[in-house]
Amino acid sequence: MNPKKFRVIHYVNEFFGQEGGEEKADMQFLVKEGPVGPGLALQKILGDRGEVVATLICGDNYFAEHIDSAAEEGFNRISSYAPDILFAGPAFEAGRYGVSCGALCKKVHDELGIPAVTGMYEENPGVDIYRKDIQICKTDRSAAKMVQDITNMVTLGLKLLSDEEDTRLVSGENIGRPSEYGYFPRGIVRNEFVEKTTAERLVDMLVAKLKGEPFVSEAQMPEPVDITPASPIKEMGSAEIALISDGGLVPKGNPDGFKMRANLVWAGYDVEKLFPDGAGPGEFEIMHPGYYTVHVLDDPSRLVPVDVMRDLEREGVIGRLHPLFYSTTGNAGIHKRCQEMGQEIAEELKEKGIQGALLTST
Amino acid sequence: MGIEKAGIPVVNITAITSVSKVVGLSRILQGLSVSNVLGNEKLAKDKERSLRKTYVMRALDILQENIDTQQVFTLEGVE
Repeated sequence: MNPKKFRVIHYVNEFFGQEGGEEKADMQFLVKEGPVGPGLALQKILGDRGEVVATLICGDNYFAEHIDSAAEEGFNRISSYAPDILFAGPAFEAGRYGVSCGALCKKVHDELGIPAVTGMYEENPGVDIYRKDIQICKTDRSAAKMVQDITNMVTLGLKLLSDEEDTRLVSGENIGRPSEYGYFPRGIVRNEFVEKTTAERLVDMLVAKLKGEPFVSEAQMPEPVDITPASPIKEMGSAEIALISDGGLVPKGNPDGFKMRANLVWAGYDVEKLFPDGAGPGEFEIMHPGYYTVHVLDDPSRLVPVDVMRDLEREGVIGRLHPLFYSTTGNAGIHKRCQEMGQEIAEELKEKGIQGALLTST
Repeated sequence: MGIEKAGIPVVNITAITSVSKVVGLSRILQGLSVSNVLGNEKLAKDKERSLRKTYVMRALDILQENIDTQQVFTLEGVE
């Protein structure tokens, strides 16, 4: 008897869907028959086990700027194909793409009850947002090993679709272990029959720990995130406010050497020099490939609102606009360094006696 | 977040609030679009500047608001 050939839908963004680059990030949903771009690799890896019946394509901005309605729209575009499974991406480290893949997978899984698998690099913001809802395979930062990454996604997807008795839960969902199938742990606890009792396993682990030997914890403590908000400003009329942005706006020549991705540097720049009052945009450039920069190049106040802050200072709404603007490039950042930069900027703000800040992000 | 820890209030203005939320920022204001966070290129320059001023004033209001947990704000209110 021939095993069923699964009907597969593949979701990709404007770039992987071969529609264009950042200038196409606003494009709306488009459906193409059959596989497109990395979908060809997906089809090849699936072989006879599945057919990519259609590819759903959407611009990263269009999706990420209206996540809920876009997920709904995307779902509506593909539900009539009666898919057995959805593959999205892989999105690697691309944040908007990862968030879009995660949202679409969650929507399709919730509505149709079918498996929805995507792939992301561990620092992709989509991982923390959606890991509990859907299966996200771990990928590399870049598309360098895409075939391997897609292979992992397919392996997991087929596992989720399989009828294997030993892994079926009461709910009917087949779940392989995260470590085995290379996806991010979802925080799901599943009963498993093992030979040793809890007490025995606990003692084994404790003995190993005391001996300095390696052991694997069965439960992971979530890392507490300290989110005590800072106190509000009492006297705005006398407060000094600083502008900060991760949009990569720098003086022409990029004197501090911001990198386009995985940037490690921040700097404070003289507001008067970069945004001369009433004399049009100063000499600046943008070191950030992750968004369509044409609007900010045309008017940098769209990113760093110096124009209106000057108005508000003149009107006495704020005490003073801090004379330095703090800039960095927040694209595919390295988590640890980003945290450090935040602390360094905080120390600078404190030293300069700044009472509050506006951080604009692209 | 480092800035919050230092006790200085900060408002993150962004189009993609879900990322700011998961990072754990406290005061988040929904911006307009990714490539034009505090603007709208379809508007005439003076109207756009006016719109930007509205957003910035909202952000300054948020800096003066006492909150005890993460909050995503919009121009009109809260999410």
